[in-house]
Amino acid sequence: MAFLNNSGDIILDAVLTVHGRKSLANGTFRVAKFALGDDEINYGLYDKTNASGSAYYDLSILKMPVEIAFTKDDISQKSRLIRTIAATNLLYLPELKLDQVTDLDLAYASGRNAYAIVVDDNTYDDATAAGATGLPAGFLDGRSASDSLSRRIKTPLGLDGGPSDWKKSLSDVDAALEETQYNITLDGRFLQLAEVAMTHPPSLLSATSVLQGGLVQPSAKSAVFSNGGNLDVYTITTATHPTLFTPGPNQNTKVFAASSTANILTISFVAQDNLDYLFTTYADEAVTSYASVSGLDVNVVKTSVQIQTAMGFQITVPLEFIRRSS
Amino acid sequence: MAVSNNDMSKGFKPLNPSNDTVDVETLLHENIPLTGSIIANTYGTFPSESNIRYDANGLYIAVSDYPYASSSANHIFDMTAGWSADSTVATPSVELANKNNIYRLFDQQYVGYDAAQEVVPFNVSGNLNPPDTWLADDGEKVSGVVFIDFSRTLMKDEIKMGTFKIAIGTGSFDGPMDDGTKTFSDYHSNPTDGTTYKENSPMGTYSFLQLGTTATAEATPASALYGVVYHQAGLCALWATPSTWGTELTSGSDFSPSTAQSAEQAFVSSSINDIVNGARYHIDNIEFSNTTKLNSRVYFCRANHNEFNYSSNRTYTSGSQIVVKNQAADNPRTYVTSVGLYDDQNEMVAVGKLSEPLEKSPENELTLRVRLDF
Repeated sequence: MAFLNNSGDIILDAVLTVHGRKSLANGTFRVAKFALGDDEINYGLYDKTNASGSAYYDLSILKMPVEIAFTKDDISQKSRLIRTIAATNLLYLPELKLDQVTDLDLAYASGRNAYAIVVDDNTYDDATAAGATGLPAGFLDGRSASDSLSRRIKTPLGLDGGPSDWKKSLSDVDAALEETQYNITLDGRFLQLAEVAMTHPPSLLSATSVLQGGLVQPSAKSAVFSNGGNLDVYTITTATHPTLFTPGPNQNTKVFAASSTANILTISFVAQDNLDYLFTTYADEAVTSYASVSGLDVNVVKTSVQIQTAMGFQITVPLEFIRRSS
Repeated sequence: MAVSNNDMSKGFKPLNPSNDTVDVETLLHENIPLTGSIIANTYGTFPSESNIRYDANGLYIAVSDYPYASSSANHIFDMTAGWSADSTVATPSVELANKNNIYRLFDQQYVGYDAAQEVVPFNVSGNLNPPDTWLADDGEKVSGVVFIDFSRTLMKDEIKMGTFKIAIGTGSFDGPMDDGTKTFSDYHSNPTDGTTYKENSPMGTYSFLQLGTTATAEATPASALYGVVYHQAGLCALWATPSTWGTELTSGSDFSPSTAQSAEQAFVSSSINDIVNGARYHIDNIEFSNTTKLNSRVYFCRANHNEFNYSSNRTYTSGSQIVVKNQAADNPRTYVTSVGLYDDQNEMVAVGKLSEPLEKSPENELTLRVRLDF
């Protein structure tokens, strides 16, 4: 895409997106809200120590060119401005992290820099062979919704700076910082989001609970970060899916130095059923002794899941589907 | 369990249909100059240029601005010729039915029917009940017409009244421009003066073409001896007379018959293809302004002083600390580069990009005006 001409007056180059044209065609076009974005901005260019004075702090930012608008809606406005924080005295904003501290089994699979999702019984048997008591660290059980609950990833939201009290809740810092709603985007060809059945209150959740699993239905089809049309977006809130959250700062964890959210998103995934087709079509590589597990020879399909808060903070978690190769 | 797609409201701001939107209509005009070199003899050898596509049934030719087989080509207009089946002037000996059918095709649409439900021929008075006399006999009805039907690519929604002109070489076929050209125009037509154009066509307004480019309207039918242009429909109809085309419309081995033919003779003895090939060979240039009627909805995206002052941009913080602040008392600031318009389901339906980043802080308020044209 080209740059917009920035030699004269400020202009606004607006286009209908592909989705907008589609909704025009089917008669559902309606604009209900707007958001402001700053995708191109590298705030690292803000030079707040510039010796020439404050007028020069943002000079590098302001002179950067801006690309013209994209018509593909899934690649526009990856980064949005936050509307709802009215306070002006905040020095810190929360960020999403992957909790690999509380449970060491939630580190990435050895040598893979990603979580391994076991998709069937054969692969599970190979991964847990030689008297092991469960899947190795970094392995998630994706055979069924119930199986997946044995190990779930956590992505707490919190502050690494500010008052040094990691048990403090975000809402104690500023009520506007607390999050109760997340968008989870994943490739629907490969996996689904598992949900804990509502028969247990969320506070009783633990890795050892034997819970009946179900599957969360995606709330919208979208194409947010790869391969348009294949992605499912799940909108999760503490009210609609309380079992997908675990209590935050009261846990014995210290992912963040300062404070963290009261409700930590805690999720697991289930592999789709059509494994033969998936691995024949999309396998990226064949690996022997995957993650240094002897006898675990697998084909690997690489994907990822994107988690985004209502404020727009994001984290992308790399996943690898593994299946016995022979 | 189905999940409702709740509003990820911390980044979105609702638009109030009554206060934040307005509908406007705008007319845009472009000047369209067509040189005769595009119309004949540039892309190959006349009459088989590669930008001329011949209808398989021999009813018309399509003219493009580049060899029509290329994806870069734009179709600019079609040309055809018709002869009134009611004419008492002559009876064509070649392609009579085709010429009658083409004439009728345009006649019934552009001139319409009289009170007796009889289709009215093209005529130089613009009346639905012209005298039963023919132009070749100094009357009013027109027997033969060359039609130039402009593509939507060129005319868009309509030809702007008072901007159309066509220059035609009236010399011999071998050198049609050697004796100079005649320019016919509707420059005398003024949308604010109803006497300078006609409105009694089913196809909208039309103007008789006058000789020259004067802005003064002559009386009809004295001014109506050359042809007519229909503004909304984008059609130019030129009468098959020596006044319009000179004394020699076709001549030479590319035509049948090969002997020199006036326009009226060619309509009798030549095919439609030969007539329109002779006609396009005589066109020196065509020029007009088109009109695009834009229906727009403007969305006023208002960012108040206490909104949009923080960002979820991954570079906005370092170790959770906001990089544009030294201390808590400093004002936060962000830099806007885009405005996204979303539907109820948080799907982006339109997006606007600013030509340069715009600073937003608690010290200012922004109203970004996003206009969508339909």
